[in-house]
This record gives sequence, structure tokens and C-alpha cells, in this order.
Amino acid sequence: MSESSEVQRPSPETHPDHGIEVPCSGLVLDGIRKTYASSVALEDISLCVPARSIVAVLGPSGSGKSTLLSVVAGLETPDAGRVLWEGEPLDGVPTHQRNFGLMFQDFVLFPHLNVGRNVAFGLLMHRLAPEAVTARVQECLAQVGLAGFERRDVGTLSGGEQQRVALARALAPRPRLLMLDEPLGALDRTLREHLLVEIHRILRSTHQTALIVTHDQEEAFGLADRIVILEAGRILQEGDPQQVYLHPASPAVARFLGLANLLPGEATPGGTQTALGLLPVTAPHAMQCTVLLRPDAARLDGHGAFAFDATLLEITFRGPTSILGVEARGHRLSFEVPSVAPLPAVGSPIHISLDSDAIQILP
Amino acid sequence: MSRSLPRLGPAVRTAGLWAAPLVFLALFYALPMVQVLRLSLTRGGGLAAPFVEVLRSPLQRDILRFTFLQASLSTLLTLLVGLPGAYLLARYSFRGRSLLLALTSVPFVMPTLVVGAAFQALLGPSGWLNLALMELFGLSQPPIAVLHTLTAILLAHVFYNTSIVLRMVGDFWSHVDPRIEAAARTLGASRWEVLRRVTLPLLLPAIAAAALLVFLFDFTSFGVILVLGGPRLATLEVEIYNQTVGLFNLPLAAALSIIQLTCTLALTVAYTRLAARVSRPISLRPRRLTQRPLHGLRQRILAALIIGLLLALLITPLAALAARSVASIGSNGDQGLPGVGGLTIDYYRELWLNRRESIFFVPPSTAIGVSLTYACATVVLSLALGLPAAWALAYRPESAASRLFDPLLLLPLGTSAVTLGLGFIVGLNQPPFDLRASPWLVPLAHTLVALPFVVRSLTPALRSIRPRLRQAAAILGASPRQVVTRVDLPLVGRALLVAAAFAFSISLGEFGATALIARPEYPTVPVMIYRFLSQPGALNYGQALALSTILMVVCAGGMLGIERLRLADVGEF
Repeated sequence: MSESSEVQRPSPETHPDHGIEVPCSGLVLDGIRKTYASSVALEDISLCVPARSIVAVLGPSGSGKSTLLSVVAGLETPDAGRVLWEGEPLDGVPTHQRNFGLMFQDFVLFPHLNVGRNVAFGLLMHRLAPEAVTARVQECLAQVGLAGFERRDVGTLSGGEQQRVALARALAPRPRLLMLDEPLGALDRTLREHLLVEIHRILRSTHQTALIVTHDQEEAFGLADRIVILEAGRILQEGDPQQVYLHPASPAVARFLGLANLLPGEATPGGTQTALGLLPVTAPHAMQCTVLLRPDAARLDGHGAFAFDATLLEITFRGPTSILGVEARGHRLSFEVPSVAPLPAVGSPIHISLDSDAIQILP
Repeated sequence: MSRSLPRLGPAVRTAGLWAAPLVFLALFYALPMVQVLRLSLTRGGGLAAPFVEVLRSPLQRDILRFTFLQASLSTLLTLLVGLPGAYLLARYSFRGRSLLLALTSVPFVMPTLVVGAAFQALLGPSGWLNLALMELFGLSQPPIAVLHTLTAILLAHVFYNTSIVLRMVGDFWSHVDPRIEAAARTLGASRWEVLRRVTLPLLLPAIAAAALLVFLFDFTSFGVILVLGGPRLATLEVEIYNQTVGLFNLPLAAALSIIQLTCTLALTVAYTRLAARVSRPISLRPRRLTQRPLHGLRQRILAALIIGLLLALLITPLAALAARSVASIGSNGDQGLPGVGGLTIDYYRELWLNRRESIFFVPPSTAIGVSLTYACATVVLSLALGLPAAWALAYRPESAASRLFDPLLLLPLGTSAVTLGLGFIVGLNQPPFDLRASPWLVPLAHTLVALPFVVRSLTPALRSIRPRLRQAAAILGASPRQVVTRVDLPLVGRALLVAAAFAFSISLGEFGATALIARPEYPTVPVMIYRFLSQPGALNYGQALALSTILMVVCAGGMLGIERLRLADVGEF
């Protein structure tokens, strides 16, 4: 299977607002609230993970992501709200009877068991016959590319290998739902990119229902059918990855996604007034708004719906692209352009133009 | 690896660290022990005669069997009592946790004789429990007769050693990542399966280490059994003492010592093997990530039960001792029911009076002064010897020297204190070391007993300093010496304090060796207590309890002070 065909996957049965009102076949969180002594960790969280789909909860650290997984796993009891699986409330069902798998952030392998025993652990808990255990362990290790690692001590594994063992261990008992907590967070960049593709392939090929929490948008976009943006215990937006990235619902979401060119403005049916001038985006009636200038859509060739002059302050070379830091009318903005484009010297004026779909109004 | 001692080869450095502790052990442990061995072998009737005599005599065989029996039972009971407490202290943060930890470590630093006296005051014929029952039911005889039984010994040993389990297992447990258990839960393991397949296997090294230590203490227990066992129940240790002091049968005492040493040595070797096999590299996590507050009624009730059990077992005997030392009780018994006569400080006042104008009278202030002097000398000596050894063990664990000497350091722990005393008497009484009459003999013996504790408390702390920290300090311009003074010492400061406290309280309470080697005009406090206990009469008994109470207060005060210092220390990892 080529990677491009995976990226072009069909959208799951999405619903414009919250997916809860429609009956959902997989995991449903209904109004979950969890407070700790000092703070609110989760505030009225409702979301759905349809069977065979992959949902990623994306949020900065401290947004309540890990608490969410603990609640679903039954390791924490919510103060209010319910967790349901296929319509059945799971209140009072202890963790070990939920058959939900959880892959921990830094793997948390059993240090006293070898690789094979780690993977076999869940199977033994489910009272599988010894021959079946051996076969399934082999199968799972082969699936993650670690065939023959059964007798290795977990202390001798590299980070990537530990990650694979953790995945095999979580997949082995065929959990109804697999949860992944920052699945690639502890690994270096090259390994991340490699494993991202591999985890995606494994989850897809086994039709695994999965709930991922991460602070890394690449991870979320690369793995999930559907993205839920969480901040300070609240859901800010949900939708499929393209939708969320191309149409952030609020300045907070845009900022979190790294779309930081935000200007205050006043939108009217005739255009939007900002410090840079009248932008060619309209609203049905006049309102205060924030305007997002997408950093990935700047052109230096003078064509476009809107153009402005700025001073080039810095150039950060990033390989295929370069990040330009500019100042225009007292605003610091940054744009990503192909590195092959000819650039003026730092400190000199620069003429930047934007296509109309690169300018968006956020409430 | 440490780069703080530059320019010397690693082997030379390790050898340098080991030099002082090894010379000390050779002179004051190996030499006396060899003399004991020679004494036991040179008796007429061939080399093996004393051993044959010991093993042939039904009396000695019974003593051997009883020694093993009581030690095994005591260890088992101690684990049963200690493990739930270790769980509570490891996994939960609650108000009074530090106080509980401090209170439960008080018994461990109690001198054995004080423990014996405390259990007498609680359970003896005129102890509080019997007094209360007789008062309640109008009985003329004390209904509970546990004194001079195995039960009393077991209770005292549990009292004594529970804090070892709480400390060693609890401390390790509190750094084990609770997510390992959560991982098992998500894989379908019930609570019981998590305990059996994950928690206990992970804790095994700590539990085994604690159990071995507890067993060694119980196996070589002396003061407790001397006071609580009565004339019929004797362990090897008590028998060695009796043969030495009572019957002057030094060769038999030496033979018994060798048998005891063989047993403890075998145990220690088995333990080292076990430890190497079961210990895993576990990434330890700071306590703030592993502990949570008590939540819900079930957890609160469980916590209350565990705390209640610990306090009942560990605190009531000490409270009974203190209360008994200020209560005037008609304990002669011929006037009918003994009863509590009221508060009195007579026993304390009597301590300072020399009623019989005995030339052997020593005021308790002298004994306290002697004890404190010996304790300070022990602290200095055992830290000076223990620090380099711990350093070598922490940073060169794989070197041949470390692997060879690590079990050697434990040897004095496995050697009975009475045997050590015997060794000092027969081994250090001729040139070049005619120290028999020297008051230095006592702190030397105490240092031998304290050294394993000092090394064991320092090594993990030193090991916990990551080499990166030293490298970081060096890169920031710290010289090797500054690395030691600015990084190592501040980080192990707490462990040094704990080690010093161990040495101090071990010296204050040591009785087995001191009983044999202390000079009559310089008795330590435990020796004075035993003098009072072994003389008849209510007054002597009261004075023994009063002096025990003083020693208890000194030891407990020191221990609680250390705990406070530890609380003030912020750096956990």
C-alpha cells in the first residue's frame, strides 16, 4: 500500500457538531468531568470514537489528555459523566474487565519480564492456552518487526524497540479499544517518522479502534481520522485533520496549530479592516474578529488577492522551506516559503502577497 | 564513571578506597575471629572435638533448633506486619505520614535490653496487661503468662524489626512507577493478579534484602532473649554468653561461635546470589509521582487499620515502659493483689543514691557520659571507614575488589556481638594489640557492628548521583575536589546523617559485645540496666525501668531529630 493512498482515506461518518447526538457504535464519553484538589482536569467532555476509527485528542501538556485516558481505562473515576462502550455504561467496570489496551507514554514495560513475557502478559490474564499464547506472541512481535525477540531482556532494548514491544503488548489481547498516550513522544525525529508510518499501517490493517492523545500535530494528523482539540480540560474543536488544520475554529486553536499570524480586525460585508489595510474577506454583518494570515500561503511574486510591504527581520533556513520573520505596521508575522525562492537581504523591505483563501476570519 | 580522582588507574583507585576499611576489618575482625577459631580447635581430643560435642549434646542441638525456629517465625511475622505498612507508606500521602514513619523507626534504635524491659512492663506477671485483667476480673494470679515463652520473643522481634521492612521495602516501593501496575490492569490483570505477577516480583529484591537482615538480627538476637526467654529458652547467642561468662568454657563458646558464623555466612552468600539474580534495572520515579492522597471510605478504613496495628505493636510497649517506670506498684505479691499505688519518681531518685555504699556504685550520669563518648567515637570511626568503602561499591561495583569485599563488609553483621566480644577478649590480649584493658575496645567493637549499616545507607545514595551531574559540574569549571564538596557531599548529606544516626544509636544500645568487654568502672547504660535487672527486688526492677526509659528517651529523641532534618531536606532525587 502506498503512503499517498493512506493519506487520502475516506472521512468517517462525521457529524457537523458533536458526534454524540447520533448513535455511536464505539466509545462514547458523555459529559465527563474530573477535578483534582487544586484544579479542573476535564470539564464536560463529550466525544465519540466510532468502531474501527482512529481519533486523536490533540492538546498542549497539562490540557487533561492523560487524565482523559485514565478515565476511559477506568484507572480514574470521573466526578460526573459516563463512559459508554456500544451504548453500555462502564460505570463500576474495573480496569481489567474493560478490555481496553493502553500504551503508555514512556512504554512502562515490565522490567522483571523478558520481551516475550511482556507481550504474553495480557494473554495470560485472558486465560489463553499456552500454545495459543506462544503463537499470538510470535504473531504480534512479527507484526511490529521484532520477530525472534521473545527471550531478550527489556533492559537491553533501544527506545524504538521498547516502543514496538509496548505496541505488541497492547495489541496482543486484541483490545476493543487501543489507547495511545503520546505514542512517539519519547523517540528521536527519524525514528518518529518511520514508526508513525508503521503504527498507522498496523492500526489500519487490524482495523483497530484507537484513541490517541498527543501534543504533536504531526502525530495526530498522521494517525487519526478525526482530531479533537483539547485545551485546559475543554474541547475547542473537532473534525477531520484537514478540516481542523484548514479551518481552525478559534484563535486559540490556530495558535496551538502553529498558525500565529493573528491580527485584530473589524469584519464587514465590504471587507475586513486591519492594521495592514482592508483585507478582501467579508462577513455578513459587521463584527470584531481576529484575522488569520496563513503562514504557508505567502507569495513573493506579486500575484495574489492582497499585498503589503514589510521589513524582513530574519530568515530561518529549514531545508526545503525557509521561515521569514517580517514586521509590518508594528506586527511581527512569519511566513514559510520555498527555499529556492530568491530572497532580499535581512533588513531590507519585502513585498508579500496572499491568495484570498490564505486569509481567514476567526470569531 | 567517576572522574573525581584523576591520574590514577581505576584499579589503584579502587584499592586505595578499600585500604582503610580492609586493614580495620583484618585487625579487629579477622584477627579476633581467627583466635576464636584456634581456641575452638586447640582443645584436646582432636580438631573437631568441640563441634562433635556440640552436635552430640541434645541440649546444644535443641538450642540450635530453637535459634532457627524463632528466627524463621519472627521473620515471617515481621514481613506479615510490615508489608501492609510499607504499602501504605509507599503509595499514599496523608497527614501524619512523616510522623508515622518517625514513630515506627523508634523501636529499631531501642537497645535490646530496653525492648526486653518494655515487654516485661507490658506483658510480665506485674505488667500493665496482667494488672488490668486482674483488676477487671478480680483474679489473684496474672492470667497471661507469655513471659519466658516463644510468643514473647516473637512479639519483641516483630516490634524490633518491623521498621526494617517499612524502611527498606517501603522506600523501594515508593519509587516504583505505579503505571507498571496500571499497565497490567489494562492488560486484564485483576488486583490480585497484579500483586502476584507484577508488584511482588518487582519488590522481591527489597523484600529479600529486608527479610535477610531481619533474619540475621533475629538469629543473633541476644538482649531480648536474655530478658524475655528466661532460663529455659536460649539461642546460640545466649548460650555463647552463658558458656563464656557463667561457665568459663571458652572452647565450647568458641565452637558455638564458629557454628553460628558458618550459618550466617551461608545465609549472606545465598542472599548475595539471590540479589544478583532477581534485581532488575527499574527506572525509579520521584515520590511525588507515585503517591496519591487517600481516597474514599475503603482506603481510609484500610489505612486506619494498618496504622492502628503498627501503633499497637510498636508504641504500646514503649509507652508501657515509660508509664511503669513512674508507677509505684506493690509487686511483692504476698499482700494479695498487686495494685497501682500512684505516680512516683522514686526509681529515678534512687539511681543517684548509693544506698549500700558499694564500691562498685557508678552514678548513672557517668554511665550516660560513657555511653555518649563511645557513641561519638563510633560515629567518627565508622563514617571514616564506611565512606570510602561505600564510594568504591557505588562507583566500581564491577571491580574484582568490590565484588569480593561487598559480602565481607556484611560479615560483622552476621557475627554475633557476643562472639565479637569473645574474640576481643581472646584475640586482643597479646602484643601487638594488648587492648584488653583499654576503654577503646568498646568503640572498636561498636564500629564493627555499625559499619555494615553505615555502608548500606551510604552506597545507594552515592549511586543515585548520576555521573552526568558530576560531568555537568566539571564542565561548569568545578575541580575534582569541588565536585566532591559541591555535588557529592550535599547530595549524600542526608544519607551521611542517617548513617551517623545508625552508628550513634547502635553504639548507645549495643549490649552483647559490651557485656563482655566493658570495664567495670566504665559501664555503658545497657550494662547498668542489666546489672539492675539481674538483681532481685522491686527497687532494682524499678531502677532498671527508669534507666531504660532514660535511654529510650535519648535514642527516640535522636531519631526524631534526624527525621525532622530529613523532612527539611527538599531534594528527593
